[in-house]
Amino acid sequence: MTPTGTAVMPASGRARGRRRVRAGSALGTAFNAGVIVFLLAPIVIMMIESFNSGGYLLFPPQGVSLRWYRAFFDNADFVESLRISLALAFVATLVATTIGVMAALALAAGRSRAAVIVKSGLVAPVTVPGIVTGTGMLIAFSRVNLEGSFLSLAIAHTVLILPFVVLIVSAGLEAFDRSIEEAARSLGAGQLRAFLTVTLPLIRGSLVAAAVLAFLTSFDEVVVSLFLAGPLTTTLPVRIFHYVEGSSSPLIAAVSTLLVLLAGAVVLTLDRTIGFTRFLSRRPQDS
Amino acid sequence: MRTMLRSHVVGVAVAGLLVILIGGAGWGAPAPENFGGEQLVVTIPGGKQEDDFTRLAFQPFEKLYNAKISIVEGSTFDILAKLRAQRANPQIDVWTMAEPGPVIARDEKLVEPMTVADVPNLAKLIPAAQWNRLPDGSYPFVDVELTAIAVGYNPNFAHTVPTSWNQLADPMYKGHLLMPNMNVAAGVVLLVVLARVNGGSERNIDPGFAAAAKVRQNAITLWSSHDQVATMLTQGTAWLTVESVDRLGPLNRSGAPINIDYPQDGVVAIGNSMGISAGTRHKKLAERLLNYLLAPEQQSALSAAGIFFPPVAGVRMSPQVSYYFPPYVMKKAIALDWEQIAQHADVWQERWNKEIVK
Repeated sequence: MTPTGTAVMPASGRARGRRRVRAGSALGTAFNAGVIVFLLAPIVIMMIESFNSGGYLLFPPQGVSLRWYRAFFDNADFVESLRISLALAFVATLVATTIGVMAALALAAGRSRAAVIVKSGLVAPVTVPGIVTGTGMLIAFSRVNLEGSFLSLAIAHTVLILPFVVLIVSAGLEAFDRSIEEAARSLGAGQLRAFLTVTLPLIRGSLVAAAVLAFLTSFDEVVVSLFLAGPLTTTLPVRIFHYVEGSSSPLIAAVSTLLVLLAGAVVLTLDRTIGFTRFLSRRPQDS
Repeated sequence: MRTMLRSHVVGVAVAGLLVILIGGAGWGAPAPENFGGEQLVVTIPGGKQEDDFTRLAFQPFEKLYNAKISIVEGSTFDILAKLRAQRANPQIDVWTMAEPGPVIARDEKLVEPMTVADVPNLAKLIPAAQWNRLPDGSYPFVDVELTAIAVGYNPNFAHTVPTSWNQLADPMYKGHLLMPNMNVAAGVVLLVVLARVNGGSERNIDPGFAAAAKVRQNAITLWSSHDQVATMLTQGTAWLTVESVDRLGPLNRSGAPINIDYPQDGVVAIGNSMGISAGTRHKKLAERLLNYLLAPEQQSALSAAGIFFPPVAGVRMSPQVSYYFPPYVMKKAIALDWEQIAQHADVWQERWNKEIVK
């Protein structure tokens, strides 16, 4: 008992408690490590496979070589598909981010039932199976002679990634204090100027996070693109999908490794420069 | 003087004859037509087949006919979906599909029949490739390459290979068999060939399901994509599988530990078919392409590269093709009744999901 009368655990009990906490921490750490290994193991194995000197996929590799990386850059079809995927992701992200931010701002301003319905409509594409979306878009675009065109793919990708922009920016606007913007307006700033100089900097993190996620989602999209790709608009994921059906060479491992490194580089660079991952769950005022 | 004149006349006659003989080598064969850069959209499976066809057929064809071939990669059922969606305004001129896709496309009137007059090399098709000829002698589509369904095995693990299809159910293979699912051609063929060797047929499939259920007891899993076969067989995760030789052959040739075995009670030949879309605006060019692909010279090069059996007669087969498709095997190869299979595919798939996949 302490001088104030607080019960104190005997020394032996404190030691047992500390051992239990350490054991619990060790178990938790082991569990977390196991999950991370389980998630990353396929990617690591694929990366190792990409340096296989043999002509077919085999783990462990038969030898070490950069031949499959050379084969990728020597393959004009793959390089062209990479270019198409990058261009498509860029265009779709630009359009989706513009529309998504405007939609999120409008939805944040109005709390009516109509706003809820509109928001549900905007995010509906993530709930519809990709194969259904792909089939529907194929039929729709064929009717207006757009099937196989870059425009049809850009529209499809914009529709598919728009929900991510709306949801992330809306989350960032949840605690946004509109009175700051109103104060700017009352001091003479026009609506556009107030948006550009007051609102936009405050939601910058959410915006960048949404744009990055939208870009990566578009770049990686395969299901809908399978239906819409034409001879001049075969995206990289579609080409990889079809290549794997017909060949079993480590070329695919090399291509996949490059994509993983690209995505990782984008995320890491942005996180280091603006810390954007924190904005996925942060308030604008904390920027 | 008279002698000189006679010599002169004889000389001119001989020279003239030589001109006719040398220059006339081209008289019998018409020059390829010039299509003025016309574009043809062709679908083909991606990967090695696309590479081989582009290098050995499409690029030479483009030069020969002054045409442009644009390739759309695709597998059977997404190509079929596109053909259906584009019915009113076809974007695809020539398609490639494996069975039963072409039969379905034909039944849905998505194809433009070809006659021997328009595609002369159709007359060179071997009997195994004539199964889809229409009563009027035309073809709704044509097999441009034939292969066989066989047992692929890793010799480092499978020291005894099945000599009959029923032997796939032998307990020695328990936990070591990679069985094809019915959404791939090898799975459909396995079901039907098991029916045939057990007293059934495409019209009486029950024996096939009964035998497939026994084979399923040995399966680690059912494969749905060809890269699963390559990976699991080379790693030794599975010892043996049922797959098409045009997939197993290239793996064996690249040094992978995969050998091919033909069960003695039945060899099934299947093909990759190409056809012309109904309503195409480039029918003539499409016919020229198909005729070019069926020419013995092109078939010789394509079959050696892709390891498939040529569907036309008169092809100089490479030793490799003969190795993977021994003549004694291909002589007894049978074609399945894909008409019946296409009619029942949906019902069989449902039954397969309940009785085999479970």
